[in-house]
Amino acid sequence: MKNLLEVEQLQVSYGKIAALNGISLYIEPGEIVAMIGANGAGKTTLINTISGILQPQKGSIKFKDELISALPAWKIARKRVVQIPEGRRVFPKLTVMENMELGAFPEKDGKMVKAGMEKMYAFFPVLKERKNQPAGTLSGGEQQMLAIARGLMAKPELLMIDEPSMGLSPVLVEKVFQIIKEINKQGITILLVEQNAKKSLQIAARAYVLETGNIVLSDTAGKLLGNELIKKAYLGEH
Amino acid sequence: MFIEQVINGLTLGSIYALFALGYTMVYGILRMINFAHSEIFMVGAYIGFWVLSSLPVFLPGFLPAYFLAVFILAMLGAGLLAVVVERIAYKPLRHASRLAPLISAIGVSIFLQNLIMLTAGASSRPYPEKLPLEQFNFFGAQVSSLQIFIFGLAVLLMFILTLFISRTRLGKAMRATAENHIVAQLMGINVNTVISLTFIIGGGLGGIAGVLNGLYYGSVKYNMGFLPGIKAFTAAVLGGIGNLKGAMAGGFILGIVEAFAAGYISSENKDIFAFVILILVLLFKPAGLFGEEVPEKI
Ligand SMILES: Nc1ncnc2c1ncn2[C@@H]1O[C@H](COP(=O)(O)OP(=O)(O)O)[C@@H](O)[C@H]1O
Ligand SMILES: [Mg+2]
Repeated sequence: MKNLLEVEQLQVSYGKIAALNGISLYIEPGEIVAMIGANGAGKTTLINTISGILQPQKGSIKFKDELISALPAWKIARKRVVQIPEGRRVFPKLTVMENMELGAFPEKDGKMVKAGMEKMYAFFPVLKERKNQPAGTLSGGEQQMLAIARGLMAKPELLMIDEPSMGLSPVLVEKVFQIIKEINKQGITILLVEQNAKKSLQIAARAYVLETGNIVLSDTAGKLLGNELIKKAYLGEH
Repeated sequence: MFIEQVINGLTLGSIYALFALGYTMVYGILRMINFAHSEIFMVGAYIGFWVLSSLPVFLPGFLPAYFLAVFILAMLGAGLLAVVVERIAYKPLRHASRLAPLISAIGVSIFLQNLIMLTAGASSRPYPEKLPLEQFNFFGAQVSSLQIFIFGLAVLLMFILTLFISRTRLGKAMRATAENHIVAQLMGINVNTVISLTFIIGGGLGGIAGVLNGLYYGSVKYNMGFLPGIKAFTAAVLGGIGNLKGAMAGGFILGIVEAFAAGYISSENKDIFAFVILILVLLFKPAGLFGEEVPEKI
């Protein structure tokens, strides 16, 4: 197995509206791969299709050489292909601790769950302070921390993060990107979906550029940072 | 008189509360009103009736085990029936308009009533009396052993349910699914299993409520689910549909209101009060007593 994830000729549509027009990409073990693109480009659609929430019309998704595109979402999650959804989407009425426990739902050994939780509390001390609070009462930044912690509780092999910086203050954005780098250093492969191209390219090894359902560019992150088109369209430089 | 009505109210309320939990649990998970739940209650009552009339009590000392068997069979039978109904009549319509499963539920309800009417007869049948009945004096009011039993069993079951939902791994999965099916799947939760579990538990409690109703009123009939069904549904709405504690509280409130209405106003018109409460709640507090949401900050 060379690639952890292999997506080939993926076509996805909502009814008659096409959202992905046969895109292909791969992710090698240990990489951070960024998927950048404007609002409506199809980034969330891609992640949701990999997660099994959406069914592709055509094409295939392989994880560790196994075809997963026909599996239901809950089975894909149990293969440790984990998504941190856009807009955080924690369970607002459940407590912080319960949200984290649910991240590790497939793990039946309570001790393992506890150990994982302690690790997360060390990583995000604010979650420990708030552990018995309903998640809906947390601030946006805290909810993002919780969403990340909940995703990590699943012990992901591939972690897909959908717009983690959305709606966060610049300081928090900085922190979230630091955390993503840190997670990756611990051996977790990451697919990072972002509109914030600059920040993503700074931490990614490679990146794809998605425009209205098509991959229009793909290269190492360093090269894309120097690319004139990218500078103009995504980095706000002239 | 006052204490007597409180006791009657708590007894009725026990039945309504157990019954209401099925409406509220299914609503919580699927945002659908399971109109066939009143027939699950009725079938549960019939299962109890069949077991009680066909199975002898082998020895007097076996009575607790005997009744345990009666309740477990009614609970399993009603719970399984509820799951089968979900699979056949609701699951195929899960992505259809909200009206479709509602109409399907009414169809199931009519079907089950007719099935029981054709197989078990259209007339009311007496419920076997195998529980020894004793009367106690409680602050000058009469309370029967049956009333104590109904209240005790209902409280015990509600306690176990509350623990299950709040503490266990599956209970948490149920609450997560109630909040968001898609995100629940992202956690590796098989939402179909959770939905089946919800129907088993809700249906099982409904079946037990049916047996208790049969024991309390001493009879079963194919259409016995209709009126208590409306009352239990009212209890669920009163407590805030989707909210378990609300359904429990709503059941007891409704039972007490009905008992007092019967005792002090008119026993012939006691059934009207549930409808009045239902209309008032829907008009003035549609979210119910416990239905407020946790504020969601962005
Ligand atoms: N549930 C939906 N129904 C119909 N169209 C949708 C739905 N979700 C997204 N789309 C459309 O699909 C395209 C891609 O959307 P999305 O994947 O959410 O983009 P991104 O995440 O890159 O902002 C957009 O044109 C969007 O309007
Ligand atoms: Mg998106």
